[in-house]
Amino acid sequence: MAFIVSAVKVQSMLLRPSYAISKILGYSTQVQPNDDVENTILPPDKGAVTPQLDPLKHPDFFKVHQLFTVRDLFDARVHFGHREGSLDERMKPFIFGSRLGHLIFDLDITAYHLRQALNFTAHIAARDGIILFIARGAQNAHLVERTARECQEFAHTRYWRGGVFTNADMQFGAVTRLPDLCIFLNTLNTILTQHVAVRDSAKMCIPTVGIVDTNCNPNLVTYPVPGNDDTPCSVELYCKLFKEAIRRGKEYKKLKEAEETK
Amino acid sequence: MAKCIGTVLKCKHFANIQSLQSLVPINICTWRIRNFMVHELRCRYTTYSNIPELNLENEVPKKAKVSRAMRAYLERAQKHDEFLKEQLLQYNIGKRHLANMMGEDPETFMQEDIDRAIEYLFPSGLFEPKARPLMKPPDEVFPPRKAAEFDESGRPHHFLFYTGRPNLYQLLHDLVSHTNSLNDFEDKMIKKHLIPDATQAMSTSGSVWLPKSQFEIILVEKLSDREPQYSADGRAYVTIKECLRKSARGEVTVRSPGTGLITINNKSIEYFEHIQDREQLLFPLIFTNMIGSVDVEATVAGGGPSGQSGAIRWGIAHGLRSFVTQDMVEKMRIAGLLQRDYRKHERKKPGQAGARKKYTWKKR
Repeated sequence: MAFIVSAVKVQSMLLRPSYAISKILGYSTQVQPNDDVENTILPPDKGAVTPQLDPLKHPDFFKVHQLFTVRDLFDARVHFGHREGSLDERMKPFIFGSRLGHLIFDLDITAYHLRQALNFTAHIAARDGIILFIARGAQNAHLVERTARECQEFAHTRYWRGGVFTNADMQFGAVTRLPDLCIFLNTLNTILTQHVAVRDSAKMCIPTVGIVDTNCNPNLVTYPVPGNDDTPCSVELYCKLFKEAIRRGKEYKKLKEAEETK
Repeated sequence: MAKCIGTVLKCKHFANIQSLQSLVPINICTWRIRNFMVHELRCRYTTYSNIPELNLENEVPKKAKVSRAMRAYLERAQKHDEFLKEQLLQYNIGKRHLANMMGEDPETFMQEDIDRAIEYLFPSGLFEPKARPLMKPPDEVFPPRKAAEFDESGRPHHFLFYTGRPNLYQLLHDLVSHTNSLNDFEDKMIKKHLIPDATQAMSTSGSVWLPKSQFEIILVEKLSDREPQYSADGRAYVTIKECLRKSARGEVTVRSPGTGLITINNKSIEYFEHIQDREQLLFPLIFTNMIGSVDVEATVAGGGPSGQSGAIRWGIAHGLRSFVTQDMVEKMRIAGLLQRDYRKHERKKPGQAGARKKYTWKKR
């Protein structure tokens, strides 16, 4: 964390509360989790698939911690928040401090949450879940749609019609299967109020993963990932990471099916 | 079935489920326990049951897992196909009867002959052609349905399915991709100091602007009226219907590019005699600086001059939204141009002189 400390002046108003400090002492930038799993079926160990191995029993079955480092987050400008005036009170635990009025995220906390989110995404993908990418910003919309297409998942970067989740049968004219996971690259919409889909997913019991910026409300998001949601390079990094996590989940599913049909 | 129940009761996980309400069969071979406290909402939308806690998968034979969504779709598709077949049969029988009635050969009786025959046998004085009796093949009468948009497990085929208009947004997505690749190509050329060849410029003379109705047919989707349509002479126009103010009701069409021509009920702006009413019309145009760049055609009925001018003003403001930047739309919203004035005439109440005015109050 030395490179962050030198660049940031911690202001007394925005110091992390003490519980967060104790949490951080448990992290490090390149975390090696309790890996009591000898044989996972992921590359490079493309060995035998062991069906007795239950992905749900391992803290990081899909090895998502290897996908990124805190340095990668820093280089992608994930630590940049908005100005102090637009800070949402509920985002305070995730903020490291501020510099010249601009808020800075604590990347150790972000890394922890991102690992949780990627792990969850990979598990959902491994169980053939429908994943819906939601973003609402003209700058990044095309990239998000492209990412979803390449993962063979779904995207919604357009105007949200009211009853997509809550009135799906009427909207689509038929009994529809709703997404099993919603990934928000922005939780705010174009008029800077919370995206309707966050509340609607919560209503329909659909788990959500969301990139929450300093002006967002992280309450309703199941796996919030505090970080910058505006800069194109941050969004590119998130898309790359989610795509890789989904790819790993699907690969596991394919290998498992191949093993079962043998 | 009894064996399945027995297996469930023996399963040790069964005892852990607290708020069990009932055991509901989905099909003969697969059972699902419903936890009404949590799963009620989810249950309607999940796919085939896959409950690991019950460990029933070993007992249950592996069937093709068809989701509720797919099953519902298949039922409806089958019903629709049967219905259409029935209608086609009726149509053909009717055609032969009609040919016999007209004394013509049933084999060579075409659609034009049918139309002629119907017009002859059922003369209609109605003005609207769509309201007159007609006999057409069922494919034309009943609107075409979209094919199954999802596979057996309920997973939609199109990656933009959840937007509700996948074809339109796919088109827009492809447009952006194409534009980006063209920009990249241009950048590469500039880096190599190459300029585009003027003689190889693309000519748009062979292409044509499609009106909204044809576009909708191509996309098999309905488009919203926010996007401007194009008339035969290539000018973009937007029609705002239901412009209401007090008792006035109107329709406004804004055309761009234009010369600032304003037509109300086929008359010029002098339809309104007072300057105030005319100013009401011009306000949105002045505000957005579009006075000389758009034409306005309005039809209005009901109410008086104040109501009618207010209705048209609202219509013009809403029409201009499609021809103006987002910033300006925001400014219009703040200026109150886009706010509909819901104030209506309040009725007089008995025991009072007017709507609010009371008779003189006497203490004793």
